[in-house]
Parts: sequence; structure tokens; C-alpha cells
Amino acid sequence: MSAVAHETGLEDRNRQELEALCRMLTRAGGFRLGFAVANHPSVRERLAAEVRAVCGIEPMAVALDPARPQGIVAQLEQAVGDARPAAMFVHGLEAMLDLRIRQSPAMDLLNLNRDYCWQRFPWPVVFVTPLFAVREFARQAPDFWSGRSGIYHFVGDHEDVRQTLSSLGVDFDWSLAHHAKLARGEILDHVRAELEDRADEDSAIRAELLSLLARAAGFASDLSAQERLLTEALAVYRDIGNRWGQANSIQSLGHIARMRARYDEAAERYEQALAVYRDIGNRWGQANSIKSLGHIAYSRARYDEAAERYEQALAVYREIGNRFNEAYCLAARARLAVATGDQDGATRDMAEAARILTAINLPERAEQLRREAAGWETNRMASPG
Amino acid sequence: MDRLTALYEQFDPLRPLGVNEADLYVDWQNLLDFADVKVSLVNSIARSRGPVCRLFTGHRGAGKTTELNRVKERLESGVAGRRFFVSMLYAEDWVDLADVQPEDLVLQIVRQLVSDLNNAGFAFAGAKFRNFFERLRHAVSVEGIEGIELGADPLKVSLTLRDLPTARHEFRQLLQGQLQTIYDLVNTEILREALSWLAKRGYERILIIVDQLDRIPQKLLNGHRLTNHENLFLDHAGTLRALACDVLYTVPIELAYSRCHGRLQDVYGGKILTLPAIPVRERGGEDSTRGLGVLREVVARRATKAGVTLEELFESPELLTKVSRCSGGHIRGLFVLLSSILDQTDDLPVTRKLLERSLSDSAAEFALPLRASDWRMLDDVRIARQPTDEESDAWNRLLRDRVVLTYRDERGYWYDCHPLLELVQREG
Repeated sequence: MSAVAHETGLEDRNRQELEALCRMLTRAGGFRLGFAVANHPSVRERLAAEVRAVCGIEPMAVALDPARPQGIVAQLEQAVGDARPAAMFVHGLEAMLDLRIRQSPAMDLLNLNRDYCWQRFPWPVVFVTPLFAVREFARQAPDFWSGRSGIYHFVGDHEDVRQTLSSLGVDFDWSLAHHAKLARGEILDHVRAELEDRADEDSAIRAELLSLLARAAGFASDLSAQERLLTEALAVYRDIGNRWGQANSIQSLGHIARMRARYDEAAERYEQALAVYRDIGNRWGQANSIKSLGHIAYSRARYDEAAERYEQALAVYREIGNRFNEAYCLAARARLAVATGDQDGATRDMAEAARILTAINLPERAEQLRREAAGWETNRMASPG
Repeated sequence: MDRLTALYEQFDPLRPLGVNEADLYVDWQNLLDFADVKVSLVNSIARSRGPVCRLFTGHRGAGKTTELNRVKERLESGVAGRRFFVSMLYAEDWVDLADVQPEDLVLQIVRQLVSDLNNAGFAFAGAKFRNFFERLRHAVSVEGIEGIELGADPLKVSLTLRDLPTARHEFRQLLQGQLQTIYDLVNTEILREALSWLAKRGYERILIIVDQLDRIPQKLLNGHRLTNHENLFLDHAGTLRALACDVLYTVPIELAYSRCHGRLQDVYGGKILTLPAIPVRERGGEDSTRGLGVLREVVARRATKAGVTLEELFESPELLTKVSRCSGGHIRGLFVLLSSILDQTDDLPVTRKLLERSLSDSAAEFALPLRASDWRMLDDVRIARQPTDEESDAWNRLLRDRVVLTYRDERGYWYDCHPLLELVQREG
């Protein structure tokens, strides 16, 4: 078995775990509860093929769908029908969880169905899932968990990590749903732990991971952790000469300084980031730095400078067709107009910003801006004179 | 089947021990000269003058069902010349434990009793219950409760309630109104006739054992401090005690050892009997050689059945002692550890290196669900050997999840954290 496993795509260090999983699958004479822990989707996807290659067992793959009204057991029953697979590999447990709450309804029901599963699925059932979902299984379905047969841990190679980080970075911003942010933060922590165990560190991966962890810390309102992670990331980006990464880190450090009202430091960071973005020709980054410098000027009541910065940033956003940032730059200019007493200008800019957000299919955000503008109008009507 | 596969099968953590598997059953309480909980249960029921209601608890996976099967067997065979007709309800199969209400439970208890009497040849019970059920069916139809489909055979009605949460409330209200009718049916008609019928067959009394109620997940009701456990077992104790025969309920350990302990004993009129974990160490911290000996016997019997001796299974005897100690004396936990060890090898015996690596991994997995604050409570338990805060959710959770284990010695019950946690490298 070991010779075959050595030739498989999973890293050599996974060989022992793969062999252990295969032993469980081949020895099980009936229901067995197993967990194949893999933080990388690419590893999870190829696990069944690896099992087939090592022990000849063809597991039935079942993907849980949180959008369906049925619970976990009902979805397994539907998937299996009258078939009698050698084993079931269940994917998507992590999507059935809601990390905002201590007890997800799906897990409640699962916990009570342990004996039923033992009878209904007389073959091994293996949940293929990231580590945090296993932890939640243990917390939320303790009776079922107490009868587990084994947990098998699979790590990724550099390419797996790159792919995972790349997918986790997509839309990892304030617009992402809270529970999804929590789930991504968990996976990032797992990946960090996984990388700490590796001897062959890849600096580019480390820098990317630190940046994403910093973002997760920001979502958790942990500015100290965010600042520390960004500082670490910046150092690594400098070491490997990644100018774009450097600029992003500096820009984000500027945001933290601004949130902590350290305006001099923030302005300095934004100027540094702007210089790097200019060097590498990144127009979007330039516009962001300029807009942020506008925010600093606004905070210091240097309204002419703020107006100039917003105008510059707006021009670039329009030039590169970034409508989302164009809308928020208009909103910033509208707030500036309120501060300078130009109510008509404020209303016009805010309406335009809301119109753009609606056009790019963000109606809730558009509504938020409209409500903000309505508040200004109310205040104006109420104010004497 | 090779030896390792046979061993693996014997150490299946989820396979319950059948009554006919006497060769695998280790009567450890007897071996340890404990006040055997089976004997206590049997005696407290058999020696009572009239029908009693008893509560039984213990950690999940500690062997409660195995013990109850033997209680059933003993009472059926007869104690002090008194034989019992025993009906056993496995609640999980019939009631939605996530949303159990007393009226559902009573209906299922009665259905189980009638079904068992019917199967024993007492057709009168089945006929009476069918009549009642037809009236219930009629009432459902008159009330126009949508979504309730009462099956053709009233002795097999279960899933109707489980799968139709929307109609549950209405159906329960209807059932609530029928409770007195059910009690009258059972207490004044069925039981009286059944006892007379059973007497001719050598039975003197009837016992209903309701197992698996300890699995009801604890929830706070309506945001108050009242839990669903308290609501069922205390507020509705009258409903649960209303049948005029002996009844034995399993109750969740987190309820039995909560602030409600005394009230439960008062309401049910007897001690809550507990199946503790097998001691792996004494209260003072030293190894319990007798408890470890019992666990060795448990493993030996299973290994023998797989055609493997202990000498073939472990490189040296202290390895079995080590894994037994790490199990905390919890049988299912012991089998989880042994399964994980066997996963790692194609050969016997299990070596020290393999065992230590596997136990270390298992310890990390065991600690996975713990929260940082749990460790403080666990440190306190380790020192005090008693509950730290019976009122707290954390204490209930740690007890429920077997992170804190209950033991018993001549001084009474005492508590300890799961020994596997001692292998965990803690943060900070």
C-alpha cells in the first residue's frame, strides 16, 4: 500500500493518513463515522481518487446543500436511494453550519440520528471537511461524535495553498456575509497552523496568508492584530520584492492609523502607498490612496484639499471604469459638500452615487446612501433659519 | 476475515452489546464490589409494594442500555419469586427527541406496552388501543388538522409526528385533551385485565423501561431559565408518573446532577441511580488497579472473540494499561481509542511508539471542541473532585460531553476531568 500511496498526488506526509483511512474503509463491516480533515478544496476534491488508487474502494460522493430544506441525514438518504455503496464521502458539512450561532439546526437533528444512521447506512460515512467543521460537529453533535471511528488529516502542497488563498481572497471584503467571513477566517487560521508545521516555507504564500489574516482581523474589529499582521506581511513583501503587495499593506496600515486618529502617520502611509502604486502603474491603487488622502484632509477640516483629492480620485475611477469606487467617492464628496454648506451639491452627488450602486446591482447599498441623504434633508428642515 | 478486521469489528464504538453476548459482557460493578446499579434498580422495583417510578442516568456510551437489558432480563426471570412483564421503549425510534413533549411520550409508552402485550398474546390490549385510536383519528378529522396522517396500524404510529412539525402543535393540543382518556384506558381497563392475564403466566407486575431520554438535547425555553429537561421531568412529572405500573426512565446526566437533583428525588420518590464510569484512578489520584483490571478484561474478551490474545495485541502489558487509563473508564471512549490505534497499523502487536502517537492525536481531537474558558473549570474540577458550578451551562456541557466524568467510591460520587486531556499541550 505504501508504495502506491507514495506515487499519489497527495503529499508524501499524507501517506500515513491515507493508509489509515483506507484501513478503516476496508475493515469496516458496517456504519463507521469518519472525518477526512482537509482545509484545501483541491485536496478534498482529489481524496476519493487517492482512496480508489490505494485500496480500490470507490466512495459515493454526496454534496450537502444548505439551500435545500432537508437536513443532513435526509440529504444522505436521498443521495443513496437504493444503492449500497462501499463508502460515502460527504462534502459540504461546513456550509451547513452557521458560525454565528452555537447550535445550527442541522447539527441538532444529526445528533439525534446516530443510531438511525448506524442502521440506515451500513457502510463507512466520511465527512470530508475543513477542521473547523469537525470542531463544530464535536460541539454540536456530541452524542454522534462520541462514536467516531477516526479522524484523518490531509495537508496541501504549495499549489493547494495558493489555490485556497486565492479563492479565499475573492470578495473577502465588507460586502461578504458575516457567517462567510467567520468561516473564511477559520480556514485561514487552519492554513496558518498547517504552514507553521512545514519546513519548506514559501514567502509569497506567507505574505498572502498574512494579508488575508489581517483582513479577517479587521472584520473582527481587532485592529491591533490587523496592524501586527500587516506589518509582518509588509516585511515579507519587501523581502521578496513584491511591490503591489507592499503598496496594499502600506495602504491598509494607513487605514488603521486613520481609524485610530493618527492622521500624520496615516497621511504618510498613503503618500508612500501612492508612490509605489505610481511606480508599478496601478491606477486603481493610486485612486484609492488619493481618496484616502482626501479623507485625511476632510478630517482635518482642510476642505479645499479634500475636494481636490476627491476630484482627482474620481477622475481615475471613471477612467478605469471602477463604478463601485466611483460611487463611494461621490458619496465622500457629498459629505464634504454638507460640511461646506453646499446642500444641493451634496444631494446631487449622493443621488448619483445611489444611482450607480443600483445600476451595478447593489440596491441595498444604494438605499443606505439615500437614507443618509434623507437624514441631511431632515436636519436642514429642522435647523432654524 | 483477517484478525485486524475482526478486532476492528469488536471495537466498533457504536455497536450495542446484545443480551445474548454474555461472553463479552463484563459485570464490572460486581467485580469491583460496587453497589451494583442493576441490583439497586432491580431491588428498588421488585421490593416495592406498589408501582414505582425510577430514574436512571449515566454518561452517554457508558453502558446504560446494556445494563437496562440485564435489568429487564432479571425482572423477567423473577426476583424473590416475583416476575415482571417488561416492556421497553427505545425513545429515539418513536419520539422526536429534539422536540419531545409529555403527551407524545405518554402516547408512545402506551403504544409500546400495548404492542408488547399484544405480541405476547394478550389481544385485548391491542383491540382496546385500536378503539381509542379510531376515536383519535376521528377527532383529528373533525378538528381538521392538516398534515396528520395516522397510519393504518396504531401499534406502529411514530413517524406521523416526527415528520410533520407544522401540525404538531394542534395534534398535541388534541392529545392533551385525551390524556385522561388514555390513563383511564390503560389504568382501569388494559392494566387490570393484563395483570390478570399475565398472572396466569407467572407474572406479577408490569414494568415499562423508557430508554434514551437522556439523549434529549438541553434547551432553554422561551428565553427563561427553565430548560426543556426541567419542563419534561419536573413540571410534567405528574404526567410521566400517571400510569399505574412500574416505570423506569433514563434521564440526562446534566439534569440529574444539576440544581434539580433534590427536587427530582422528591418528586419521583427515590434516589436517582447512576451508572458511573469505571474508575481508572482513585479519588486521591493513584491508579485504580481494580478498575484498570476491569477494562483489561473488557478488551481481553473482545480480542479473544477476534482470535487475538492480549500478548499478541500489545507489545507489553503496560500499553493496555495506558490506553485504558486514557479512556477515563468510558467503554465507548476506550473503543474509539483502540479503533484509532488499529487504523495506524497493518501488523500486531501495537508498539509503544504507535500507541503514544495515536493517543497524542486522539487527545488533540478530544480537546477540539473545548473553549478557552473550559480549561479553567477543568483545572478546578481536577483539584476539587466535585462540581464547580452546577448552575452553569458550561458545567452541564462538560458533563454531557464526557469531558468531566462521574465516578463513585465508598464516599459517594466524585468527578474528574477526562484523563486524555492530560496529554494535550495547552496554549499559553
